[in-house]
Amino acid sequence: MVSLLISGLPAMTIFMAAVLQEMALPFHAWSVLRPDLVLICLFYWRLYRTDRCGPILALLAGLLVDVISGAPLGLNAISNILLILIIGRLGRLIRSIDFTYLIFVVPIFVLLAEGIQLGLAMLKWGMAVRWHLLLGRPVATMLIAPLVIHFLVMIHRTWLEETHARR
Amino acid sequence: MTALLGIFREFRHAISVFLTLVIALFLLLMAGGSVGDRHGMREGLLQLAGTAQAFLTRPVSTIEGFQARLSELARLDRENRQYKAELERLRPLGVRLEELEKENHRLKSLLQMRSDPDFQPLAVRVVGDSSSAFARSFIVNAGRQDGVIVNAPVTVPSGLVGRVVRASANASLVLSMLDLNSRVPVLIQRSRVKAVCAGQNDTQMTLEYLPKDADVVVGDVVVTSGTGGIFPKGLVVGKVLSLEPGDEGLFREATVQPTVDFGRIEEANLLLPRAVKPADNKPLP
Repeated sequence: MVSLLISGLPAMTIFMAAVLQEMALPFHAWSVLRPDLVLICLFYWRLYRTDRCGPILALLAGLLVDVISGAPLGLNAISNILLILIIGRLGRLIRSIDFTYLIFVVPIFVLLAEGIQLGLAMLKWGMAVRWHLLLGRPVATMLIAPLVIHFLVMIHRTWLEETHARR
Repeated sequence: MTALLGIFREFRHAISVFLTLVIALFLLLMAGGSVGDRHGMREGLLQLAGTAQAFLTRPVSTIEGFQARLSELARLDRENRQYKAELERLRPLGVRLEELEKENHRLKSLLQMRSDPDFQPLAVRVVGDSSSAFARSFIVNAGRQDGVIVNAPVTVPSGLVGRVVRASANASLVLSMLDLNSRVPVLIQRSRVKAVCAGQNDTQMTLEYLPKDADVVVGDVVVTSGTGGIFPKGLVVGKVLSLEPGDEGLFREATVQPTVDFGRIEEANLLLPRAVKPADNKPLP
């Protein structure tokens, strides 16, 4: 039971990130600089615990964000799946980058996710692009990323490495 | 079958990616971004997320509560300081108020004093004590400009104090009955026996020229006799405290305890003869 809980930690952190991102942060105050905490979690776990962060988790996380935020169902899910696909492909390259520079990689992925979502929204519903939202989110994510990643590293080292070693 | 399973294992990642993408695209494109009634699902998820949010934001709300408490304490501390400062500012006023209340009481007593119709009372304040080992006198803040004349009697509600012996323009010297040089013609109120009350530079006075067979007992009230032309008749002087045996000579002596507490005189009434009007009836400065 405990090992099941521990192995589900990445999913739990993603769930918590979604809740924090969509509910705890006041929407009006953070409409421009709203960090994408879910993406940071997906990014980290996909890089360092690939076995715990696959497309199914990305789909579920995206659906969760869609449902909570009221976005078209599947929009975040698609962008999440595509992102973890790309992160998986570039995993070795990204892992070789120094942690300091990794901070600048995160917003690129956020921008990519935003691009995918806006592209889909424009194609399907002809939505207009709100550029300040498109650019604000990567900046906010980049600013908060060191803190979130530090937290994830702590969880990783405390729980998941030990579990991994036991196996 | 085994071959199929092998293929699945080999491409399971690609298959899962493909399937999840298909599901997401289906939801987005085919179902128009909504699956039937999302309301119930959304409500359930929000309930779940709300619980998690409460858990997550509890430290924040605790810190907020702590901050609010700190602000409240700071406000209370600020108010406390203000009130303390205010209290410090008001404390002398309280003392002053009490002082004025007492003064008011004393002045009312002075006003209620019955005075001889031949005399006009003038309220004065004692501004100095010039008593020494050889004299018992004090200074009041009224002088010739206020109509004060030498020999004007000085009284307080409890009785006679003395008389003015020197008057300058704005102040006068009052000779107390306790002074060695003071002589006041008196009589025993009960038996009407006349005598002279003399000061001894002490807290008590002596009755002189009291006939040996005079009807005097301890406790008799001594009042002014009105003879001599200085003091009006009937002012209370004191009470007989003790009597000398008086075995020799024509007279005997008695000790009189003054009714006035000379140590606590702050205001007094000068009795000015009606013929001499005060320049103005100005109130106590």
